Amino acid sequence: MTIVEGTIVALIVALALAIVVIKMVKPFGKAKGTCRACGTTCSCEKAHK
Amino acid sequence: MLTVPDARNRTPIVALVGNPNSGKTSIFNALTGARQKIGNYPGVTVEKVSGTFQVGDSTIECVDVPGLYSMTAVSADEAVAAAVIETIGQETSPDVLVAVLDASNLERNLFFYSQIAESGIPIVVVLTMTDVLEKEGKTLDLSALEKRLGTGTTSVVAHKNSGVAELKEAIDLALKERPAPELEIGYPEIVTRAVNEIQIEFPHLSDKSVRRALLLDSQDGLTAEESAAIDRARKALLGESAQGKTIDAQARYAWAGSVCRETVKTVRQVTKTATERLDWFFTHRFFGLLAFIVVMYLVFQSIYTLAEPLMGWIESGIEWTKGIVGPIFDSTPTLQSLILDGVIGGIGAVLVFLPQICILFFFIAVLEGTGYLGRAAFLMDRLLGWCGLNGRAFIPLLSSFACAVPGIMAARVMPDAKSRLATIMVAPLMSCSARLPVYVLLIGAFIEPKYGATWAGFALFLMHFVGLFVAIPVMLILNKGILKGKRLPFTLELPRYQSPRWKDVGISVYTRGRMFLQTAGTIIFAMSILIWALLYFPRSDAAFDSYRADYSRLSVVQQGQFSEENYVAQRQLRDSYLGKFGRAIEPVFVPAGFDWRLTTGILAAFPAREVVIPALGIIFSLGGDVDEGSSDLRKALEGAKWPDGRPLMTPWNAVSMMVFFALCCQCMATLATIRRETNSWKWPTAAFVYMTALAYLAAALITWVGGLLS
Repeated sequence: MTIVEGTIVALIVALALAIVVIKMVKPFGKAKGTCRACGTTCSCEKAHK
Repeated sequence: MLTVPDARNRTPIVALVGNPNSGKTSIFNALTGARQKIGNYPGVTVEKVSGTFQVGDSTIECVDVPGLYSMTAVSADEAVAAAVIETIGQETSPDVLVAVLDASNLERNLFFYSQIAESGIPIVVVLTMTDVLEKEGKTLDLSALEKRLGTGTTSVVAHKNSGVAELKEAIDLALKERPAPELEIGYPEIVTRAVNEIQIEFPHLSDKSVRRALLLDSQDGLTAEESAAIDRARKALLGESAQGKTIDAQARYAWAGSVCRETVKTVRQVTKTATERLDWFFTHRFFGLLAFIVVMYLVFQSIYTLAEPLMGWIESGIEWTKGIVGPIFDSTPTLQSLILDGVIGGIGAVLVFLPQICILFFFIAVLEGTGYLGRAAFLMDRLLGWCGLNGRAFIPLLSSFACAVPGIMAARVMPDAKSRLATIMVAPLMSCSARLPVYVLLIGAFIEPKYGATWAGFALFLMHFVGLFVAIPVMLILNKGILKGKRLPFTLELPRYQSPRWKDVGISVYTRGRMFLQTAGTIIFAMSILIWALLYFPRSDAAFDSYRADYSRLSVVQQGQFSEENYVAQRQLRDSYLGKFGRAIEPVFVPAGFDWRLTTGILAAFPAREVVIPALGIIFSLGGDVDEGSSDLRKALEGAKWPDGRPLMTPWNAVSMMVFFALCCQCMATLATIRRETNSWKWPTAAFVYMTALAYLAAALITWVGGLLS
């Protein structure tokens, strides 16, 4: 394997790893407008804060 | 593009409100050009959705909310809708309410209208289902109706785009003139007298707010002194009983009834509607269940048989692509392997299952569109009621057959928190579309060749019900034990039967297919590359030399069993990072009938179960067990063996693996949604642990029974 080929492969694998990590972590983020107290997407968030 | 600012200097907001299944989302889509999901049953929309539309040069924000029968919200989805209407004066409160009224169920719809009319927000009334009203031999006196409702009306047939322009104009007018309707609801004399007496003491209070406080116990905006006076008046009026809500409801229904008598005219008598005639059969306690089983069986049989030729074409296309791309990277073998096995192989393995996904969603959309799903919920009420839930849970559970994420969110239709939690906990057991590729692969490899296409279709049908069967005892344990408590009764409005709207069916299939490719495709693409890397490395010339030396030391008989090339490839795979990890953990999964390769595939699929197919594709196409020249994963699985020469996969092992996938919680998005909906880590953790344990035990049991019988 040449240095160029190795670098390309390493970059692609690193990018894939980053995508997997982001995809796995992202769903656990707080959705916009979602109430932390009751879970529903409604304006009750203010009341429950 | 100009935006019309209101007093709060922001884009005007219009909220679509009305009873469930009155056609709000159809109008939302017609106004905004959005593609929100539409279904002919109540409870399709469970959260607030926003979009925009233009009237002239002005932009207006449109909000679609879940349906409400009354402003007294019971379930979480109803709370979402009620909150939108009740946020008067806040930054996000609507400037105009578009009240969507089902003309064929006017009296019940008017009850809700009578409540929102008191919000003080300008209202535009939209009449839907006017064509159904005509079929029932009735007409509407629109001018009389407008007079009684205190606002203008417009009729819309959203799927024909008829009346949408008029509705936009009516909204624009309401935004400019802001007329709030005034209704004349006749309350009993004693209530009116009590209201007047309180107003003498507190003249600044409106009769509406006093009546709300008196009958509905609403203390909003009242001082302690006012509350105390109203409380005394309530006790004098009603005693200690809580009859205020009943008096209020009776007055409103009396008003709605009088409006209907005045405005709905019968022009011809219709004895029995088509819906009534069909319902005799489809909701019959015996024929209805039989029809349900037959319908479901036909759906899954069709998925299996109709998709086969399409899959063949896609497979050929993938092989053709590999043939074109491969030679470009001849001088760089590592990169060539990455592109062919990691990227094209991985994506192709998902693409090949797109036909089944689309066919499944086509049938679901057709059943939704006809109104049959409401009947299915009615039929399931007995079964679910026995487990402590009710038929209302069928809708989130059915949504979970497509994907657990919307299914878990649809559990908001459950009327109480404990039922909702129990539904959320079993929703991931329903067989989502990501499991379909696993079933198709294993049934195609081990059931169809031995028993034929009919039994293969039947096996696919059964696999989709494994989760439901297991969910019954789980629900029973949850509802009778951990989540024990009082349950609210089940009420579900059965929608009218109608011909499915083919445009909505097309949108549903397109949206779901695209979502499958986008969400699954991205992670599969990335995971395929990672799995390839973990199987390809470490590799060195020294290691290859030692494998070749080991091969030369084998006996002639052993060398006759496999070529040097296959032996070296197999050794390299075993010594790869993933191979070492798989072999280390293999003893845990051997009782379930999985060797290190299947174990590795299963572990790789824990973030998202659809990853298992490309993972197995990479693992088996690199393995020495695969026939040379064969890129077919089915053939590779059929030919795979344990180290002692026994076949790795028997029909029993195939069933064991399918059941493992049917029951295991291999979906990060599902766990994240449970976390979000329950606002706790406890429930996603519990779901993961109990489902994974169930999956392992069931797979081990099937393998053990299979070993005894074969």
